This record gives sequence, C-alpha cells and structure tokens, in this order.
Amino acid sequence: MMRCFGNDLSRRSFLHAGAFGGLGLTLADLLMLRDARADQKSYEFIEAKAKSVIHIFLPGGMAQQESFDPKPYSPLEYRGELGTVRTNTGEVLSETLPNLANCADKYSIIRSMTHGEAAHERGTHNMFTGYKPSPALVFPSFGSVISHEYGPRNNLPPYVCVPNVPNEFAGSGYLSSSFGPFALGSDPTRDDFQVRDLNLAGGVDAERFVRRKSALEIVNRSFASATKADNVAAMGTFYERAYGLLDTPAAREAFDIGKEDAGLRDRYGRNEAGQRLLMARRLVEAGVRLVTVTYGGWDMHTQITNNFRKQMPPLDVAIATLLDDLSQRGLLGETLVLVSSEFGRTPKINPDAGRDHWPKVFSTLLAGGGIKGGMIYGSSDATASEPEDSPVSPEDLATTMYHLLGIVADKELMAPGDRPVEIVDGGKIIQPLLA
Amino acid sequence: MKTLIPTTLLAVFAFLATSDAAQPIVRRLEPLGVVRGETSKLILHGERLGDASQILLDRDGLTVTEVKPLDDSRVEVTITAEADTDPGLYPLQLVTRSGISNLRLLGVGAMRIVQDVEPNSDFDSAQAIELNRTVEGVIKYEDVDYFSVTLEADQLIHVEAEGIRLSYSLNNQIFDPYIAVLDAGKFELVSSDDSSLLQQDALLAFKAPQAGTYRIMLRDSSFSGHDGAHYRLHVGTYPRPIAVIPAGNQPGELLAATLVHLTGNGDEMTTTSAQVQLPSDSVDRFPVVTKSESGISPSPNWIRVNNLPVTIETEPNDDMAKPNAVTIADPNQPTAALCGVIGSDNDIDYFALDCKAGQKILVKAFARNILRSPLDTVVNCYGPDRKSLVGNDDNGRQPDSFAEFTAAADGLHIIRITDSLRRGGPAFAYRIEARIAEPVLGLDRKEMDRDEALGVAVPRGGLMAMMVTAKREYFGGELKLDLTDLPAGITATTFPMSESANEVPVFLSAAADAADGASLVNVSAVPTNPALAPLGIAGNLSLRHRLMLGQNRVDMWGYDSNRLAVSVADAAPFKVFVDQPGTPIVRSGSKELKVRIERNEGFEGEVSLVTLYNPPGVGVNNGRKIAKGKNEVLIPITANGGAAIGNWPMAMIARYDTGKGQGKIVTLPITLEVQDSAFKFEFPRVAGELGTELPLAVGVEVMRPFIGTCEVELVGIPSGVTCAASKQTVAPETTSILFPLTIAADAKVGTHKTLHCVATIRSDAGDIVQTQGVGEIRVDQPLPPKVDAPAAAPESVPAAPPAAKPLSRLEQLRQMNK
Repeated sequence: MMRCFGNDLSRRSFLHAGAFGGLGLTLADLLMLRDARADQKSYEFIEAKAKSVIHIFLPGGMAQQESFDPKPYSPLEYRGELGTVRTNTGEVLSETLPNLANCADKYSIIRSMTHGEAAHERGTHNMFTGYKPSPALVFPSFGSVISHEYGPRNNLPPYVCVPNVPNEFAGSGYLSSSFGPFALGSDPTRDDFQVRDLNLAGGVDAERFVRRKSALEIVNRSFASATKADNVAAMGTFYERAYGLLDTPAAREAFDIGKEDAGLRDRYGRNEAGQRLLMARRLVEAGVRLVTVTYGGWDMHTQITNNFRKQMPPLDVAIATLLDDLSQRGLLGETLVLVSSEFGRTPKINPDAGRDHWPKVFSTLLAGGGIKGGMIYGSSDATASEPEDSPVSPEDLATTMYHLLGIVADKELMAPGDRPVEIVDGGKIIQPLLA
Repeated sequence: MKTLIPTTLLAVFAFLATSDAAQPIVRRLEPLGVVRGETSKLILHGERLGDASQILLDRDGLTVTEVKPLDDSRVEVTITAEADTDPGLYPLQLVTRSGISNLRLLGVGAMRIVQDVEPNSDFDSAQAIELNRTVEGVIKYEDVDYFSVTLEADQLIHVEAEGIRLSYSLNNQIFDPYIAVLDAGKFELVSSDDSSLLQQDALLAFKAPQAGTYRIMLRDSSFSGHDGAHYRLHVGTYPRPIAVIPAGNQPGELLAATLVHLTGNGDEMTTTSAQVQLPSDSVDRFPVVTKSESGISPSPNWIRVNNLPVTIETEPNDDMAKPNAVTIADPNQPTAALCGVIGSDNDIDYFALDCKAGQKILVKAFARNILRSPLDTVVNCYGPDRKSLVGNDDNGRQPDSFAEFTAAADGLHIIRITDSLRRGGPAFAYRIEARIAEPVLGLDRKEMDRDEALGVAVPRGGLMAMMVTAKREYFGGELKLDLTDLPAGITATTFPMSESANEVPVFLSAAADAADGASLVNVSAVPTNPALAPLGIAGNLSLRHRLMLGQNRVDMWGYDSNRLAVSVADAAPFKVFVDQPGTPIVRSGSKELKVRIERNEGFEGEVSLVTLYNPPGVGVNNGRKIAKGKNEVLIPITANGGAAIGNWPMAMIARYDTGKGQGKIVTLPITLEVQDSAFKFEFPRVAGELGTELPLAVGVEVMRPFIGTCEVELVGIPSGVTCAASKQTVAPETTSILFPLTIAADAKVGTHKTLHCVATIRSDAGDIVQTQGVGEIRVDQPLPPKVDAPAAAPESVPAAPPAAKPLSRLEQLRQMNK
C-alpha cells in the first residue's frame, strides 16, 4: 500500500465525518474508510539507480544553439556567431563547451525537449514540477516530491537549494511545507560563506541548548494539540530535522565548503558556477537527496555571443569537473546530474544581437544515476526551430528522473481536498537514455 | 481674450533614448525652464559632456549664445527666449566633439520661476507663493510638496503640472504628478491626477469659495517619487482652455474658434471665442496659445492645419436621416475635414459625404491624438443605402478610429461618430479627415543601437552612415533620396532604394578640414519613375525621439521631429576599409570579408566591427574585432536560400573608444553581389548496418558554368561513420558524386539528418562557397542471424487469468459500502 502524507484532517474528511455521523458512524469506521481511501493504485517496485540528484537550473532560458545544439551549417542569422567543438564521442557542441566536449562519454544530451510555454514563470514551472501551471493547484517541485517520498538521510535536509530558493515553483506546492527546500542563504563563492543556523547561537552551550529545547517542546505540545494546521505540524518537523542536523557533526560539515581540498576548489573554479557545484557534490555525498543549483542569467535578448562568452566558460569547467569528481569518487553511478533551463531561444538572431524565448525546442543534459553516457537523444531541425525526432516533454523528463530514483511517477499524492494527483501526469520513460 | 498665433510648426514633447556608454547623455536641465523675454544660464547635467560645443534647436523662439563645458558632467548654456516666444516645451540636443546627445525638452514660460524650498512636505510648512508663478522642484520618494496661496472669494485659478512631459526615462521610471487644492481644514476641495489634455500630467481649475489661504499639494500619484521626478507647477489666473473647436482649418485662414474652459465649479465648463491666424503652410500639429488680460496659457492646445475643406458640425445631426452635408472642393474628390464635438452623453454626429462608385475612402479620426480630447472615438461608415460598410473603435494601440471603404455606388455616404462609452461633453472635440486613398511616402531612420540618440556624428576626414527606411502606401517603385541643410564640410552619398527594398544606406562624409559644426538636416525622397511624377509623391523624414518608456517599453512620451541632427566630430584615430570581394556570394553560400585598418601613430586600441545593415537574406557575424596589435580581421557572412539576388552596397561600422565614449566610423561601401545557387545537390536517403560499407551517391546539378576548379566536401557525417574521400572534385558536366562511407561497428544507431555538401569554386578572383543540406543516413543494428530449423511449438500453457484491474478510489469505496 502506498500511503502519502497529506493533511490529517481535511475538508473532505470533515464532510465524511459529518455525513456519516448522523448514521452512527464510529471513529473506527471513519479511520477504516480513510485507510481504504488511501488504498489506491498499486505499483511495481522499481529499483532506484540514482540515490541523489543534482539539478543545475539555468534561469532565463539558455539558448540551445550556443550550447548543446549548434547548427554549424545553417546561415549566420540562425547559427549565431559562435563556432563549434568536436566531442570525444565525435559529436559537435558549441565552442563555449570545450571541457564538456572532452568528457562527452560521461553524459547524454536531449536535443528535442519541447513545451509550449514561452513565459519565464510558466516555463520554469514546467521544468521544476513536470506540470503545466494550473490556476487550481500549486504543484510540488521535484525536490519536494523526493523529500516526500524518501525523507531525510543522514540527518541532512533531503532537498537543498544552492544558493537560494530559485523561484516560487521550487517549493512544496500542495504537499506539506515540511517538504520544502532548505536554502543555503549564502553563496559558497564568497570568502565569508557560512550557512546560517548550523551552529549554536553565540553564548549558548550544549546544556543550555537542551534546556531550551525541552522548554520549547512543552510549549509546542500544548500549541500543536490545540491547532491542527498543516504548518504547525510542519514546524515541528522542521525543528526535529534542525535538531538532527545540529546534533550530527558530519551533516554539519557537509555545508562547510572550507573543508574541501583547495586544489579541487580551484579545479571547479573559484567562481559562482564552480563553488556552487562543488557544494552540491558535498551535499549529495553526505546524503542530501536533491540539490538544486542555479547559476547565471540566460535571458539573452541582446548580445548573446558576448554574454555566452562570459557566462558559459565557468559552467563548462564546473560541470566537467563535477562529472569527473563524481566519477572518481564512485558517485556518478548513483547521482543523477540534470542541466536544464525553462526553454530555449529563437532560431534567428534578433536585431539586438540576441535571441528571444523559444519553448518549441531546446536541450538538456543528463548524466550519471543510470543514464547512458555519450548519447545524443532526439534532434532539432536544421535551424533549431522544432524537434526533428523523438520530442521530449517536461513530463517525460520528470518521469525518467523519478524512474531512476525508484519513484513511480504515476503514483498519486494527496492534494488539498483529498484530491489524488499523480506525481507526473502522462509522462513516458525515455528508455533509450537508460543505461 | 485674444489668441496668440505661434509662428512655428509643431513641437511636442518627446525624448529619446540613448545607447549606454556611447554617446553624450543629458540627464537633467537646471533650471527646467526659462522665462520668455529673458536671458538665462542653463546647466545641462549628464555624462560625457566635457567637449560640448553646440546646441541644436528644432523650434524657433530660443537663441543660444554660449555653450561652456564646466566639466565632463556639466555644461553651462546661455540661452535667450524672445519676448514673443510661445510658452511650451522646446527641444534641444547637445552636440559635442565626439557625438550628439539625446533630446531634452526645455520649458519656456511667461511667469516668474520660484524654486521649491524644503521643508514644505507638511500642510503646516507649506511654502508660500504668489499667484502667477511657476514653481520648479523635485518629488523624491514619498515626498509631498505643499504651497500656499492667498485667494479672494470667487477668484479662479488654474494649476497645471508638468511632470512626465519633462521626464526622460527609458526604463519605466515614471513620474505621474497628482495635485490638489486643500482648504484650511485639510480637505481636498479639488484634485487632479491625469488629464485628457496633458496625459499623465495634472490640471485643475479652482474657484475659491471664500477669501483665504489655500494649500496646493503636489505628489506622485503613487508616492513613488525619485531623484529624476522634476516638475514645473504653473499656478495662476492664466487662461487654460482644454479644447479648441473646430480643431483646425486650411492654411492662411483666420480660424474662428470656440475655446472650452473649466470654470472651477465641478465639471462645469464655459466657452469663449477667439480668432486664430493659421500658418501659410500645412502643419500636422499646430499650437494654439491663449492669452488674456489675466495671463497666457503655459502650454498650447493643438489643432491640425491642412488643405482639406472643413465642415463644422451643426446640431441637430444625430439622426442618420438628417446628417450634416459635407463641403467638398471638387465634386469628384470627396476629401474633407469634419470638425465638431460630441456635446453630451449619447450624442451621435452624422455627416453625409458625396462619393463616387469605386473611390476608396480613408476616414481617420483625431481626438486623443493631436487634439488631446477626452473623446474615445467610434467611427462607422454607411453606403447610400444606409447599409453598414465599415466601423472602427481603436486603430491598433491608438484609441482614435480609422476606417476605409470603397464606395460601391455613387451617392451620399454616411459617416457616424460617437464615443465608445457614449459619453460626451463640451470638451469632447474631434476632427475627422476623409481622403481618397492616394500615394503616401514616409521616411524614418533605422535605429542601429537600441535607444541610441537620434543623430549622426561624422568623424572629420571620415565617413559615417545611417539606414533610411521608407514606407510606401498605394504606390511602388524605386526611390531617390535627398539631404539638405547639411553642416558645412559634410556631403551625402545616397543610393537608389530599389523597388523591393524598404531601406537603403546613406553615407555622410566630412572633409578633412571641416570645422566644428552641426545642423538639423532634412531628408526627403521621391519616386524615380517619371510616370509617378504627376502625382507629386514626396516623403520627408519623421523621427520619434522617445523620452518616456513605460512597462514593456511602451512609448508614453516623446518628441516628433522632421529633421535629423548631423555634426562634424573629431577624426577617428585610424582609417578603415573593407576589401571588395572579387567573387559574388551565392544563395546558401558563405564568404569572408576582409576588414583592414590603418592606425594613426599612437593608436593601439581595439576596434569592433558591425555591419551597417544586412542585405535581405544575408547574415553577418557582428562579433568580430580587430584586436590590439592587429590590423585586419575576416568577417564571415552567409546568404540564405532566399537571399535577394542583386548588387547591394555594404559597409562595416568600426567602433572604438574615444576616451569620451564610443566613436564610430564607417567604411567605404563595397558592392556585394548576391547570385542564385551555383549547384543543386540531391541527397538520397541511405541506410546501412553497423560494420558495413555504404556508398552515398549525391546527385549534382551544376546550375551554370563556373570559372576555376570546384571541390565538394561532405560534412556533418555522424559519429562513427567515416568517409575515405570526403572531398571530391566536380566538373561542369558532373551529375553525381560518390562518397564511400564506412560505418563502424560502434557507430551511433539511428537516423541522422546532418549531412551537408560544401562546394567551393576556386579561381584567381577568390572563392565561391555554397553549403547545402540536409542529407539523411540511417545506421541500423544488424539483424539477428536466421535460424534454419523452425522452433518447436511451445507447450500450450493455460492463459493466466488477467490481472485484476486496479480499482479507483471511488470504486473501492463503492465496494466497501456494498
């Protein structure tokens, strides 16, 4: 039986209780009914190939032409001004990715991602939840779903955002707030980087902390028994997890990027891309289940060549180093690395030497965690205008990711009002990508 | 009361955008305005102003006697406004020795100027001012300015705020003034946020109920002031009409106008009459300034002056059966202006225009546009049989209506006008212009950098260029351009604008000994086809200097001009050339243009290059630079499969750091010849298994004879597939090329649509390169080996019962309740 955590006493439960109460329904009957209600679809057990996910999200909409899907033989107004580089697998990437080109056997690229949302917030929603935005329901992000399904590991938050929660769709949606993300709140690139709240407040020793904790529990017990709101229970969960984190030095150390070897920090790059990805690796290595990393601004309506030349090289170095680092530590097989953006950009260069929003076709990168290496899945047409073959929707991408994590994407979670809602509605597993 | 007749043409507000870190920028004027009849010192604040030399004025009435840079961010200008200069806004552009600034508007008024003195942000600390004063100040964040005036009982004053009309912001930083008059008890007796006449700027009339001191409050409508939220507040007894009826007449006429005024008593209005002498030439936007013994209006009302005979509405005309007959000069030419007012709620005005069958009539309403009337027009047209022909509410983003119809029969056609919400009132003035569709030509200048200042600075001894665009209506054909009033030492080179093009470059050359100078230049065009000469088609430049862009870069305020600023700038520290290619570029082809510079001694800087424009279908790499220490670079260009065949002038703009911003110089134009494709390649769809050989026979059609040798290379070969002879020679008689492909055992299985042929014709004149795709190759897994013996029939196994279908929650609940 697949149970999911929902609101303990929902509107529909009240209605049931009221309706049957007049007929003499006992509490035991009610509880039995609730158990039956939760007895929904039955699912095959899936063996998880990936234990963790590093989701590298590039806000703004990264151009496919200047990254993973160059069109070197199309006219200049389509292909842009950047050249290409050949990968170690014989494929072609943009010249801005020389390091990734050298390790193309470690990852796969989807060149036929497609959806229909050309607005930032809607495209972002698609790529963070696997759902189109709905005015009726706020969907949970990937991290929150994974947090909901698996819970914490090694006393670490299951879902961490580096450096901050990137957008409004990265939250827990209709799930309890307790499945929301933990944000570093500070950029690991900074010299004074420190994750807030990971150490006891100044002047508070362990004994005093325990006393404070006991006092808080007494207060909370009384409060929680009087209030049935979801966020009260969630707050209790937060406290429990926070105590766990504070009590576990190994968990705390995961957040201390200063413990990392200086040479390796240099290899990743002493910049935003490098240090954020290094932090992500430390976190998944310690037990975090999904880390969302955001880097840069890719909404390049103007001067796309110059902007790519500035922003992409650090990311190229950082991802290549991340894959190598994970591989050397034996973690690549169990860590899924996903590089995505909300959409792609227009086939033609605009008068401001940039490209505009284009969700019809764009590219994503997947590596590790049960993904084949060296594969190019799908393709776009000659001018990167539409998928040429094997179109991949956000639903398909999300379903594949969940599948690798051992989660049946068709499983229903309980939305407010006791509405069962699939984790992903209608996605297909991209079988050719699976190792 | 009598009406002043301005002597100059239109003038409106407007402003412009500047490209960042490139041109001089004027951020602020201090003071914001001057008093007519006086000489004033004006400080222009901005960036890159240290080499300022001249002010360009697009409107008569002002004289600049000195331009003195104080430092790189300030210029002192001595300016005189003649005593008879009409109050209003006057555009100016600052010229420096390295460029031309954005356009700013300077206020000219008739009243003495008082500066806002803080603290005056409380009711009790209001700044006392006399009547008939213009207050200048700034509304910072959450700021409120109070001014106190002493009025007699029943004394009428007007308060007009200029806020957005003085602003300059291209990033949605809006100042939207709100004004109110408060009594001693702090009650707002009258207030104004926006006004039809002045857009976001506020206007109110106030009649004092009793003698005493009243506070005038000014703030941003949403309390979001900022350092750039400067204002001029005109407080006085001056006349302030809000409508002029009729809104125009023919040139040279003495217009007997009715002026509509606020009375200060709620929405009540009153009218006066005035005689307005119209100019001798047509003016799209003519300012009417009203003067009386109590003052002069601080800004004009606007009407139109052109040759259309005017029919003035006479009530009753709100019945389609009893329309006003329209006066036309020629019975065969139903062109006329219909002027009137939607005088009350639910009012509808009908006019009858005599049209001939087959005539195409354009009906354009002016209300919000030009007149700034509160009327939101709806225009409907009916045939002689009273059947509806066409109707229009808004024309694109403009609330003013535009309709066109072709008369099906001779007879009186009805034009109907009303308000879209059926509102009306004394100020709901309109002017409808009905014309026969006739050729119209309009010119504009293409923006090369987003939000750049509208001006061309020509380096001494060098060339600069701009792209002029044309909009032809109801005619076609080649156009010839002409530029007049160029600064001394600057000459223009124009090219004919071909029939198929709507843009053409214009090159401006400054002599090596040209003195500093600048002027506003007229740009005009006429068709070259002699057959069109009798129609008298001519077009002039129409420039929009954008001054205020709102959300999504919506143009909220700007200034329209017919002349372009051109100046002589300091010489560039190098000379730049594009080598004329010896061969054409073909459709689906590519080429490299060589750009060279000859550096002056001491100049080592970097030079970046962008194309002046792209001929249709031609793409140019605008990311190339000539680095320090280098003197040339190759610029890749391509022509797509639909590139326009012909000879096109092309030039590259070189950008460099002048130390005071970005300088620009353009190369001499070359002629780029675009030809049709030289070859046609036919790609067969081929398939092969892993570990096999696969011949690919590409069909070739040589479209025309070529000089030199030709080599074709197969590119885009998928990973794991190799070609032992990917480059092959093609002769004019070649019909097929065989590329031997080898598919490796570990090649990527699947369909690959990546194959292209790159043909290169080499001759002494240079290369011609054509790239054509897309060929498809499918790589298959080998089939499993066949098994000779038929497989034994499997034992029949009873079929397993079908798995129970998972029940939905609803079904489960139903079962439990059974």
